Amino acid sequence: MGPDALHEYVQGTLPRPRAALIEAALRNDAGLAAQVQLLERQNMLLQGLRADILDEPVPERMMSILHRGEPAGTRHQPLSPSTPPQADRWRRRGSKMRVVLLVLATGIGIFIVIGIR
Amino acid sequence: MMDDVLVLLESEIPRLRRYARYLVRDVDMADDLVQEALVRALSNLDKWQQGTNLRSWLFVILRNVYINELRRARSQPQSSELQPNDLALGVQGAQEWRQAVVEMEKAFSGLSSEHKDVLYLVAVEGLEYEEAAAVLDIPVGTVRSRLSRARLALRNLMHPVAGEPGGQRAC
Repeated sequence: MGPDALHEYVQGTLPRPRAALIEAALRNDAGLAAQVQLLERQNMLLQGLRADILDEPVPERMMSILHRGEPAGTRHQPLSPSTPPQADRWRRRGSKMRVVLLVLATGIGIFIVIGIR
Repeated sequence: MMDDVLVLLESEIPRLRRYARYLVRDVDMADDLVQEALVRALSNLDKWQQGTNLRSWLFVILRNVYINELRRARSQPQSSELQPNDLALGVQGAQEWRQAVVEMEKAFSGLSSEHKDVLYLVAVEGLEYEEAAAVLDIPVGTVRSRLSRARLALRNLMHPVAGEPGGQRAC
């Protein structure tokens, strides 16, 4: 049984007859069981990657896209698909970030110099 | 029926935002991608087949939006922000688990982007191999082989000690 099959077994995508073979082998092979345990842990950790983002509230502007058809009320900023607001932001972001980084680096530099003295 | 789909769409927004932040570093830009993807999804909702995975359908759209932005930004001199994200830290939990997640994030960011792509879609987001293949526009066999190599590479990054059970090494 190759590593591919083991990965698919952990992923839950291995067809039943082959999955049963692995289950049988796991009972007698401590090394194999350890590998599966490691892969399962790997999966759990991967699923935890940036899980905090999933708990963030959905921005209002996204909700307003979904509810555009509703009568005007509390929702605002209806977005027209023909006018993407992000076009400029994508262009401007690079230079803006560089300025911020430069200011930060200068500040840290001064701080270190003062610290050394 | 339309309302049901909207509820489903809404429930996928957090996943879309996480995937967008996997694709780009900047939070606002990531949300812009999601915003655009939602607009496109809504205007093409008739093309989504009920019973199929809405998440992977949305991921296809989001990735297309991202690739379009990437192409557009390439013609601009300042496109440094379009580097794929390394998934920064931010997971809460018990100290030990947190430490393990931090190590995983570090190891994950050390993988090649091809390995990260498949691992993210299949292991993090739970997409089927066929769905991941559709999102990445590559054959299913490629997803399978990349995933296998990615898992081994990830294991070796997290457990670099020789003599692991099985003794497999990443290629």
